[in-house]
Amino acid sequence: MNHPKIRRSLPLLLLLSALFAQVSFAANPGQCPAIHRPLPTAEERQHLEPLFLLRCFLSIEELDRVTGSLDHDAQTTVTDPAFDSGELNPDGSMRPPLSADQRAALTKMHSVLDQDMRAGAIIRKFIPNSDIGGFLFGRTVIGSAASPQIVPTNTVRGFVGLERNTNGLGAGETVAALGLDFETGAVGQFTDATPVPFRRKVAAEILAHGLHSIRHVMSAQAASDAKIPLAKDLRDTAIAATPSFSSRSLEMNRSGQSNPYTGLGYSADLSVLTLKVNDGDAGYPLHLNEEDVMTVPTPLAVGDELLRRKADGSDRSERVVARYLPVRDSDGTVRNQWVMVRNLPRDLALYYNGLFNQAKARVLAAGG
Amino acid sequence: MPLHRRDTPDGPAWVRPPFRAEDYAAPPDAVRLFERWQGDPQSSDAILTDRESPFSNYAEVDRQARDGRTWITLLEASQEFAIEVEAARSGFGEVKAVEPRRAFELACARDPLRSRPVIRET
Repeated sequence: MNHPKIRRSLPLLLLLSALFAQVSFAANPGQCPAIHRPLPTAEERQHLEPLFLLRCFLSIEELDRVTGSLDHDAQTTVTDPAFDSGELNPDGSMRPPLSADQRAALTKMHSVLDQDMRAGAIIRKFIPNSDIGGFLFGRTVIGSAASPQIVPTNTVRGFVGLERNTNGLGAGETVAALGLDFETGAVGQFTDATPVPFRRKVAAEILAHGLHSIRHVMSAQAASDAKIPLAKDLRDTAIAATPSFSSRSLEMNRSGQSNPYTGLGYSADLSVLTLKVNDGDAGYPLHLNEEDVMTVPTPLAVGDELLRRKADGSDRSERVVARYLPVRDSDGTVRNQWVMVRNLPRDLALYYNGLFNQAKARVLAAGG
Repeated sequence: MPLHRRDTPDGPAWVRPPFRAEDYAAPPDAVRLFERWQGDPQSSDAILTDRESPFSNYAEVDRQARDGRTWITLLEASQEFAIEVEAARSGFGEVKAVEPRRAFELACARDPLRSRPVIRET
């Protein structure tokens, strides 16, 4: 409980503890196993903050072990030198290994949260603002200047998470909860450098233009392809306890001491993200979640939305910027593409049209 | 997992048991996952080096030009099976499971790089 991020989460845990005081009761199929409260429905679970959902199934002690696992080493049995640096903190100190109790509690957490990654699940994919134009245009340019490659942007790939993971969070809280503090340059898409070593702040880019995500509804195939990334020790424990974790998780070990990837199956910032530039302890509280990796890219679906999340913590509302819809071309061909919503304020419409035109120009310059 | 830990008077070490083909055979599911990326718009190198790639647990241990094609050999870091993929501008080309004896040799070749000594059992 000495980790500052965990200390900041403690009041919430205590509040939950008080709200849902432990009572003795017989197992009831309609009741939460851990507290005296009705079991949430599958639909309700999609929208419940993970901590509230977990409280239904995990004891306070188990939740304490889960939150206490942050910044621990979940790969002590990994032998390949490529992952040695992943056992270190940003300052070069060794991370303590996960205890058996922590591994068991994390396994239980994932066995609860993973049930909601299913057909119809709503996920978010947060993207850097520099990628928005490419998504809106439908194609982008990757690779080096000497060897540019034009690729379509009609899939969701990489790290994703259920929408409930970041519901109601401001842009800065979201950057922290998702561990997007991986950049190291002076100016980034998610974070910028500060004068204090090992401390970064929410990027000016986000303060100016917001944080963007794609809201996607999962197909059965996509939900199956979304797997929990776990470092080796934790994955071995999870599979031993619940064999289905063999197909529901992916061994992904941490590499690089400044990598916010946790290996614990939940994301969090690396504790380098600060709310106040000159106060290293003014960080963000831990927001428990479960992250997934798309082991195969999944196509965007009609009805998917591009949303903008404000950086201002006082306004946590989101605005839909565009929807992925079927559009008929002049030759009668119907194809799916992003269509900007009609009620965008003029300044936002100009911003997104500008990004669209920049992406189009890059693609044309690359021969597209 | 071929390597396991042993505590010795000089500290912990990794122990590599004698070769058994089944320890180094690539599982069909692993081969299939690479095949599902065939035709992806990104190049093989872009897929493999992406920080969000599902293949981050593989280490590139060899790259050869053969028959006019480029082949990348990838060693799975924990289970130590190997897969050879044809580098392509769009996803992966041909995907092959590497024969277990070759995977064993590739794994042994990384032993001097490991942070702890490796004891080879015969």
